[in-house]
Amino acid sequence: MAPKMPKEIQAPSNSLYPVNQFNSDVNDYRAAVKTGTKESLATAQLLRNQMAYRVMADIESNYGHFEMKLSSGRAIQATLADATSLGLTAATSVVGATDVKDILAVTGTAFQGTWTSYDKNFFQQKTTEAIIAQMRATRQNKQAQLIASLANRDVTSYPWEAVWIDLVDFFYAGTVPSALVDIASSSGEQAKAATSTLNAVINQQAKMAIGARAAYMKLQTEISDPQKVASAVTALRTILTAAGYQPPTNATPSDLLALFRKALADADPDVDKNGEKLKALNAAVSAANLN
Amino acid sequence: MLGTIPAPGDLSMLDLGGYLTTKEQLNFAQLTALTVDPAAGSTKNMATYIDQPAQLGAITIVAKGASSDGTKILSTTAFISGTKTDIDLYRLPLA
Repeated sequence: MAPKMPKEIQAPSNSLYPVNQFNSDVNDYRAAVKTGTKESLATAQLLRNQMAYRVMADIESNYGHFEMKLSSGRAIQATLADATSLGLTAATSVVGATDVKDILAVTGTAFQGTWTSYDKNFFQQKTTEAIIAQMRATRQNKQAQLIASLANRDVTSYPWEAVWIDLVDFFYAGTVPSALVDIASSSGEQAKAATSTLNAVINQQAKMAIGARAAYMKLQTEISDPQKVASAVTALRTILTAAGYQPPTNATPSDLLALFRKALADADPDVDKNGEKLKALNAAVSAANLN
Repeated sequence: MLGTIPAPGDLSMLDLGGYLTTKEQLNFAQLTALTVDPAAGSTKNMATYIDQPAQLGAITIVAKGASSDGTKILSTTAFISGTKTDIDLYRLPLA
């Protein structure tokens, strides 16, 4: 229950990002990044921020409605369930016939069990207030990270794709399953804090470089292991080809590893100014699914 | 790329840490020094690297004296977002 929202701050007045306009903005952003001049990169950053804030506004608006529905909807369901249960109990006490009394008693028990099961399966028997408080806390945290990154980072270190990942995270932070998982994992808070600390102090570029280098180290070890060399060679070829290199068909495992090292060097931030090679290499490594 | 080479002076602490980490990871190197470029009028930094075949953890930069996870590897003055700033560099453990 809430007062009526003024029209001026209702979603359609200042938000609702049409998909075609969004796609057009993404195309403009990509073109500006591709041009690569100082001015075009500044334009790309403006476009990136504008897109991010418009998507964020839509998520915010939808979340407001969702929270209200969750709160009042669940309260109504619980009230109806209580009323039904109380009605059945009252009916049981006033009915004279034993058979009917038994049927009503059993129905009341079954209803109560079904309600408990529903509440347990969908809400883990957590109060609406606890779920909403968790969703708000997680959303606030994600939104603060997003806004700080948009304000402080250029399109090279924080491209639209990274913004998109953070926006998706921001959206899911406002869902019941996410809140339940967060509540359940409160015992693992320390691990979570460590992860968020790491995310806060390392930028996307560094994460990609660390991932690519870790893949190199792993494959370097595996080509020395007779039992793993074949799969390592396949992985090296897959990564190199996906990253735009053409390893010779007769290349030895060492040759392939040397080419991987060259690919790493080619992605050096002073050489690969837009970070495209590092992104391609990182995507190739992720696709190779080394585990 | 080993030796002393220019490093950007217009990046934030987060992004300079990311840049130095990326340089190390992709070039099998280890940062040993970070200073301001002594050339007059320059707003760049100079970074010194040595060969390092082992993979190292990420570098994170904080204002001098601020707390951070990891092990402190350097305490220096460098250009951060174009301004000379006293900073501490920490090495985070590899995940």
